Amino acid sequence: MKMETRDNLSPQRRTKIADEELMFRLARGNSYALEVLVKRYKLKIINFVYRMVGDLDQAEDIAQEVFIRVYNHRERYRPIAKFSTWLYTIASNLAKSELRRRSIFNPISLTRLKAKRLSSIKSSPDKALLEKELGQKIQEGIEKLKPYYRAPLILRDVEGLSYEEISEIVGCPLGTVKSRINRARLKLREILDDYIS
Amino acid sequence: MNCKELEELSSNYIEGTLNQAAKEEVEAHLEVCIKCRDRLQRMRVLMGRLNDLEMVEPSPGFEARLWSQLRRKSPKGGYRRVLSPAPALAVILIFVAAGYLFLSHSPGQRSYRISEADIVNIQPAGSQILGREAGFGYQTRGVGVSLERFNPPGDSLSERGTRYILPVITNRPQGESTSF
Repeated sequence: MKMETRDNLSPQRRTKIADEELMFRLARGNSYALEVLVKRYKLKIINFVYRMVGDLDQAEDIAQEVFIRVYNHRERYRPIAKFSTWLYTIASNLAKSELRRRSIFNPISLTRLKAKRLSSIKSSPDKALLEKELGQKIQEGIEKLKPYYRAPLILRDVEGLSYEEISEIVGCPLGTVKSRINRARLKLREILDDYIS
Repeated sequence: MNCKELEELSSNYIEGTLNQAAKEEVEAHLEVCIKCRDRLQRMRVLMGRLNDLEMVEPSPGFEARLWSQLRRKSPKGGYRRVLSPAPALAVILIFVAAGYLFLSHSPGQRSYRISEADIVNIQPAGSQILGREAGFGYQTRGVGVSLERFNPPGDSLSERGTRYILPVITNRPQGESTSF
């Protein structure tokens, strides 16, 4: 078997190699292909999961689990769909599981705890702080949405994915996805009424 | 078109995916409904805000923790990171160089069974001894042995006077074979 090296995956080449090709190499035993994929997607996956669960530590733990699953299922991966779609599907399912677990075992939401922290900085005139507060308010608003509204909204408006990709990730028809995203936006606008003008 | 119907189409309208007829209907309603105009504007702002949300950064040890977890958790013998070519090449070169130095400085270290009667000259540690190759000196490590009369079994070499340098000698009774 031809030995894969970092040279084959140099920074110049990394950008050219498709995700699906990297998965093929990973399945053949080139663990370095996973490093390239992790570098390529860790920020996106952590941010997506963070927006879903609202806690950075947990988002990192879930993102780690996502990449572990990619590695463990490397031989089963078939490039029928885009690699990123598969990756977001794993992340979305794990995030939803965490939300389910949380609703069962921890009925007191983190949002309330954060709200207390926010009130302490509300009086500050600093623009950056106000921006930060708005960002946190948006995050809190997102967390108030039901998971089946939340995931498509984040994938569309935060991650910028196409409706078709989102449809594959959440496993719903295109029409349902469009409708859910529209309702999620309407609901979030209502939640953030005092902050959006 | 009423306000509720417009709400259902608001995302499609903002994203420009409505057909011409529906778009005209929406715009006709917006012309006369300030409330819907305001709501639509707020939705635009919200979408912009969502798009501009600050990215959170992973902790510096994220990848290190991941590799560590992969080694522990992954089945089939665990995850092993591929050694990068530079260190891998360095390791290979070190082994090759060490092997070359070892072999080139030990011309007599072939494992012959010889009789101690063949040993004619014991060299003290650190002494310089002329090896087989003309002009190439060897330094003994520990106690060295030079053989001047040696005819290894199955070896075509039988030149008298050839000096083989062996690095170790063990005391054996006269006549007993010793493996070096």
